[in-house]
Amino acid sequence: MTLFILLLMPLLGGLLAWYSERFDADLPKKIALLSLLLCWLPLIPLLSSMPFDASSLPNSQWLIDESYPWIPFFNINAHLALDGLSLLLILLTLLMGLVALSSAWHEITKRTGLFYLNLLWTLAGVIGVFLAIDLFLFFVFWEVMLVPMYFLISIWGYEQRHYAAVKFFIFTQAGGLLMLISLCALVGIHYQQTGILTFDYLILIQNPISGDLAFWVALGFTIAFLVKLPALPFHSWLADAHTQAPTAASVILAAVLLKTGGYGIIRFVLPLFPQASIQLAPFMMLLGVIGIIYGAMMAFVQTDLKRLVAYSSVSHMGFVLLGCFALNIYALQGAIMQMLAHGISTSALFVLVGMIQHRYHTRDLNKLGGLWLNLPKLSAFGLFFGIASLGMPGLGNFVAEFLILVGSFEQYPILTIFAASGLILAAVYSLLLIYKTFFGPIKRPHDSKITDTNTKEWCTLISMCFILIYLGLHPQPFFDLVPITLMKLNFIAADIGALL
Amino acid sequence: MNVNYYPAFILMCGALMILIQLCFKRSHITSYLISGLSLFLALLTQLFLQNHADTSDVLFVLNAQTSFVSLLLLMVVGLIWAQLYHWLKTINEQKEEYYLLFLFTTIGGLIMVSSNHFASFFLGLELMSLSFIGLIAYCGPDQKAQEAGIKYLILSALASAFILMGAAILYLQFGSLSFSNLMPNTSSQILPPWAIITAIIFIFTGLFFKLSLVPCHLWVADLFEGAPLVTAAMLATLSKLAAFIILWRLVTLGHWQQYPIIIDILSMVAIASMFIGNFLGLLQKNLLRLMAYSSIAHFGYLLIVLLLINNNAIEFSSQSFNTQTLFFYLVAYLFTLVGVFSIFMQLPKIKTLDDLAGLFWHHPVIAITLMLLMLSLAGIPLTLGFMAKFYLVMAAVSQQLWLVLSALVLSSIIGLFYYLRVIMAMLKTPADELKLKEINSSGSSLSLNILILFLVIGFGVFPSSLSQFIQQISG
Repeated sequence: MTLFILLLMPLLGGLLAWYSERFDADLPKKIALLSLLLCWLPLIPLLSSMPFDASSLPNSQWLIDESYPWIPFFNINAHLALDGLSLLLILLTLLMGLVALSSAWHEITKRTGLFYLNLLWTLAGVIGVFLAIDLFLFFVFWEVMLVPMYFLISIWGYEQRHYAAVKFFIFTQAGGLLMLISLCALVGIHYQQTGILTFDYLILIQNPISGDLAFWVALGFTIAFLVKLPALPFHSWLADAHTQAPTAASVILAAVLLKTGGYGIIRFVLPLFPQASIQLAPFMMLLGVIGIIYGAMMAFVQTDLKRLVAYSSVSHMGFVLLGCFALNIYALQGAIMQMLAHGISTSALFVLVGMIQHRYHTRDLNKLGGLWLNLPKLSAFGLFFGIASLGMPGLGNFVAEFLILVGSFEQYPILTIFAASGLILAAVYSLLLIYKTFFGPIKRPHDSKITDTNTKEWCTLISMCFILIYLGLHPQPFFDLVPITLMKLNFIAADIGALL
Repeated sequence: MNVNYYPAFILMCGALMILIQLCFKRSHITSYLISGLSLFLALLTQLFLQNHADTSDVLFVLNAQTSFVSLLLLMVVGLIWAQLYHWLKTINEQKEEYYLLFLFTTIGGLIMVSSNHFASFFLGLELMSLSFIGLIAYCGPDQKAQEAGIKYLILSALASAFILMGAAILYLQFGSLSFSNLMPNTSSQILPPWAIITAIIFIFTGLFFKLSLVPCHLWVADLFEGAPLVTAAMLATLSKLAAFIILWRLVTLGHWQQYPIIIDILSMVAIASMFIGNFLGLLQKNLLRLMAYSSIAHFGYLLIVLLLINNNAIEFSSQSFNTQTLFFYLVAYLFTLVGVFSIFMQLPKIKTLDDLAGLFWHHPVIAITLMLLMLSLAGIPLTLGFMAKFYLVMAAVSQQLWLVLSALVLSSIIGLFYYLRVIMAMLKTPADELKLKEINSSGSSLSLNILILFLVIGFGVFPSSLSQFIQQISG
């Protein structure tokens, strides 16, 4: 039941928060906080029994595995399972949920109950995505988590919120429908080949499907995940959604929702279609590299702070794509690390932008400047996270990008060289961001009512700093936690790669 | 008399009682109760017959499947009936005759769904269509209603003529009007195949008109907008259900998929309906017109079911996944649609998308119900509409119909735009608060909303009991 409790907690908390609004407008956020904290409870025995060293890890991939029949007609089970990868991403989700809560605490004043309902339900959906092991259930969570996110953007967003929300929903739905068809085709082909009708990942993975169709099925899945990641041709929803969403929703989007794409590729595409993913790999890596460079270049022409950070996400997620399809263990570990580090550093940047917006009512880089003089603490955090996002050694992002580059260089040297140039471009936009907002001339007279970070904000940001530093200095426990050797991935032998 | 005819018989008695009552004393509430009672009794009898029905005679086939469809039909009509009284009070006409025509259309539908013979089919069709003309033009002085009534009268007569012509040609070939004799027998081929194909196309034309599939769809939006609301609901649910069941039975019993050109026509119509329905839906501001185009698109999706049967020849009674897909989709779509219409009936003043603005903040229960229904129409998981789409995709994938599947995906994405537009309209801040204040949210409509939500979301989350039931009756 542990995993189901984990899933139910935010769902019930959300309902309670909504209901409590009629008593007191401040009650919902407290209930939301409480239910998010309660979510940690089911994970405690797991974390305490596994003191982060390799020897104590169990030998099977799955730490917890729970299954109940759901729709016996199609042999669909409510099958949730937790392994190291999903554990890490769930920890990230819960942490970022708290961060989002902290940034929404004073920002959201209207319709608080509904806001926290949607926030918690989005988190529940994401947790569901990370836990679901039955493909049908996975699909359900995948689609359902979008609905509350849609409301978050379209009710509490900024000026163009309706446009952004619809764009976000349509893009991801289109990907979802493609996935639905691929899913049915996968199950159909599996049924043809083995005579077993099942949606269960653990059974499907034992007999990877083959044949011409397998390639197209794999492509369908991959595109659905690319939309979410987002990779290049499908990225245009991201900038709008991020820009128009309230800070808390931006944090959730950047930190967790994008990770579901990477998670999907690692969990489903690579093991279920070993043959097809080798065929797809060169194209996907090319897409990844184009995404890295394009995202970075788009980032440094933006004048809107949020758009800048959003495009930097496109660039960073390009690294994830690169790492996933390099098909070797270093790059894959790098991709996982990149998901964690990017989740933290980018959402911290969004929180900072939210704070600036809250104080100055603008996100325009041309109207900001010289914040350091007035808000030294906030600016220091800005500097830290800006530098983290450009990949400074010692922080998580560096470890991740380094591993991805090392892993993919072995097989695709030319592509990797181009990808590495993304690091320089990242420096350009990160430093631009830092320079234009925190240094430079003061563009507006200081309003003495604008105060520096308060304790809550400070605590949020400092804890994120520490996590990033920990990830950068001592990443090994996280690598140990993800049992890549047990995940039944096929890695290419070193010599196939000289295609590009 | 065969026990299986009881439901239709009870309805007929109800209609007659209303007629007799009208001779003595006009009373709105009495007619309402009589019609309700007869519907309820018919529903109960049908429910009881669910396990007993298995006979067929010349005119009718009565087995588990037809009795399931009749049950579905009666439930849908019952749900519409539940809102009828409040709605009728708002119009200025004589009210009692509406119930009469309402019951007659129901009987026509009941006859159609279990008919096994062109004679009974045509009888049911005409009974339904003629009553519909009265129902559409019921609000006398309203010009739009008059126009809609005339349109339906002429087009429906034309459609019937086409069907008759087609039936006549088929009679020439097979020497029988019974559906079960439609099996082509190669040894006694009298007519050339093109003549049979022409006949089939004639019949398709008539039925596509009733289903408002693409080349014959032009009337539907005007009619939904012009006709009284309840009539539009009946047209969207009852008439289409009956016509689709007939279409499906003819295609399966006659093995019409053996002609490649019929397959081509069906896929073309399906694809065109999906795209044109959804594209035109995008342009609509009026809610009822929007629902009209959405229904064109949905029947386009449903046509996929007819394309499925081509590989394995199936008897009407044999077990098959395709049949289950058909039934599940019909159940899902009809319940959702009835829900949408009953929400519209609770909002009599609201005609366009802009009028919906702010509904969510003033009447959250109604708005949330409508929101979930829209999500169900769009096929978002955990709703009944999604399960139906899942069935359809599973069936289509297993027969590898990639062309129509890609059309399904693309047009569903287009369709999402306008379903989301409805949701978005409700979230906006209202321009005119007065309009929203007039909405009556009485206890009865609240409980109806809860019932609809229970059906659409409850079966959406836990579909196994429904799918088991459908499996049983198709097995």
